[in-house]
This record gives sequence, structure tokens and C-alpha cells, in this order.
Amino acid sequence: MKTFRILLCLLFVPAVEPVLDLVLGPASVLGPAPVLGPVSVLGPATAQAHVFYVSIVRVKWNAEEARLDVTVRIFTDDLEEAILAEGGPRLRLWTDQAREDRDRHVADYLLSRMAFRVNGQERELAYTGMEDALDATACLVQITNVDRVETIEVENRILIDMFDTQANVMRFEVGGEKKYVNLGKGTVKGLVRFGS
Amino acid sequence: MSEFQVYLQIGFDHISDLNAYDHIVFIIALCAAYPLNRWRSVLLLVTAFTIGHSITLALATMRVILVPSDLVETLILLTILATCLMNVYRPFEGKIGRKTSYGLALFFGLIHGLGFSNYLRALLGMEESIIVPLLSFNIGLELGQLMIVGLFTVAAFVFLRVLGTPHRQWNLFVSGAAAGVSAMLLLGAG
Repeated sequence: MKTFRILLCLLFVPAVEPVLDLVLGPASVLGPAPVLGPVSVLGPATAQAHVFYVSIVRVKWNAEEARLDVTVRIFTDDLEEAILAEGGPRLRLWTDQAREDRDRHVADYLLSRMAFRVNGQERELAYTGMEDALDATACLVQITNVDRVETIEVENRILIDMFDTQANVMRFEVGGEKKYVNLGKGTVKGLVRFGS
Repeated sequence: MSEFQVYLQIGFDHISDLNAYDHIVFIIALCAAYPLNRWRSVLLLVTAFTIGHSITLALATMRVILVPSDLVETLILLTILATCLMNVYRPFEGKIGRKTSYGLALFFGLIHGLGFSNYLRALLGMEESIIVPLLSFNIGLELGQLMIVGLFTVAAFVFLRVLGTPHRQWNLFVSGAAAGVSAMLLLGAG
């Protein structure tokens, strides 16, 4: 009987979606969600209480283009705070008032916080753009002329000086082989080897 | 480090992070109403909460449902406040009351799961399988949750058994504190 009641409660789930649809507009199943308008329905937001200090960096080797594609997924508010703390302007990313020079500021910040050595050689990073990923921003960075990958040494100081508990997950993928490194305040450098 | 370990760690850190104490406060409020000899009820409650947040965590990470973070965070605070008020006024008594409590814990779990998923979804992107990150993040949350329940039980043991505090007083003390925290956060003072 108890189990039955609990199962009954699962009915809440299908019930939730139509209600939310009604309140917030249709939810999108795939791709970026529509902008839902002012969201602070029930009072001021309390972002500080529910902080989740993580960024995820994906590094994927594109053999055809001989290139490392780096995607930095970072919470948009954290990124903006960090640029402000550097003395930069408030970018207001993904709003109507977003600054024209936003890419330059984001590029400056990210490239000053990351360093890559591929096969033992220090390599230049090139910022190529960014995309809205709801609460986060996906920033795209490339390292060109990489025709083979044996080792990648990485230094990642993204948001490290902003938040004590910042974790920067790094995911590497080279020819189907995947490696993970979890960086943070204690460890800002990591090394991964491939094909060994 | 494997993908599993990475997201397990993130899940565990997320729920046990003292900076993100809203979940901690909720779990404590959930446990406060039960004397030590009713640990089975606490386990059932926590399980119901877990089922709830696992469902919405999965649905929202897969983008079946999307609720803005600000709204979710406000709702989470309301679940804490509601739990505290129920601890004090005990609207549900007896056998049916207990089952209502489990149902509510599950419902509140649905709301908290939306909170976990908004962050996870934002970081995961859509390009690859989210099953391992989702599962390991969730297990990490569970482990963190069990740790909080464990630590709270130790504190409850000290007050109830060692110091001999009557359970009702202990419940009012904890629920009052939790209600205060959630009220301040609701007012945006967090």
C-alpha cells in the first residue's frame, strides 16, 4: 500500500509539465530554450544560497582539421563577475543590452586563465566565439596545427581567484579515447597522455 | 580520473557545500520531526525525496522540462519553510498522515531536482551522452545527503539521549532555525 501511494505520487510528474507550460510558456525539448521573460515571480532571487561553482572544459582533437577544439562551459553570471573583478565592464551577455565588445573581454579573460602544452610544446589559444547555453555560456577556443596528440599539459585558473570552491572539470577526447581531470584551487595543472 | 568519479565528486560537493546550504537545511528540517527510534520513517522520507529529485534531475537535464533557476530557487526555499511549518503544526497525524508526509517529501524532491539539474544541464551541453554524468552526479548527491542525515543524527543523539532534551523541543528548535534561514533567503538577504 505504501509503495502504491508513492507510485501514485509519481503522477505529479506529468502534472507538473502542463502547469509549467501554462505559467512559463512551452518548454523546449531540444536546443536552446526560449527566453522565459522575467523569472523572479515569487520574490528576489537568492543566487548566493545555491551556488554551484563548476566549469567544464572540453578538449577534443579534430584529426581532419589538425586542431584541438576547446569548449569552455562557464556560468554566465560567474564569467561576468570575473570580468568585472578584472576591471572590465558588465557585459550583460545574452540580453538586449549586451556590449558590442563582449567577445574581446571574454577572450581576454579566458586566454589569460588557460595555458596548453601539446606534446611538450607551449601552444597559442585562439578564441573563436561563444554561444548561449541557458545559465551558462559556451566559449569556443582553438589550437591549430595539431597533427598528433601524445600529451596535453594544461593549466586552468578560470574563476580560481573568484571562488574558493571552484572546480574546473577538464574532459579530453583524442581519437575516441577520453580522459578526465578535475582541477581546482589546490591543483590548477593537469597532464593527460594518449595512445600509450 | 574517470567520468564517473568526476561527476560523483561534483554531486557530493554540491549537496554538502556549506555555501549552498539550502539543500542541507531542507534535509535537516525533514529529519527534525522524527525521534531517533523512528529512523525507518526518516529513511523512507529521504528515499521519497531522492526518488523525486532523481526524476526531475533526469527530465530537466534531458530538457523535457525547463524551469528558470530563479523560480526554482524560490520554490526550494518555500519547501523548507513548508516543511518547518509542518514540523511545528503537525497537520498530518497517524498512518495516513505519515503517507502524506512521504508524498510531500517526494513532491519537494521534484522541486529540488529542478535545482540540481539547471546547473548540470547548463554545463553538460547536448553533444554527448549524459547518462554517466547524470547517474554519477545523482549518486554523489545521495552520498552527500546520507552524510548530512548521519551528521544530523549524531547531533540529535547528543541532544535527545545524552542531554535528555524532549524531542518536541528539539524539533521546534531545529525547525525554527531552518525556517529563519529560509525566510532570510526568501527575503533576498542570503
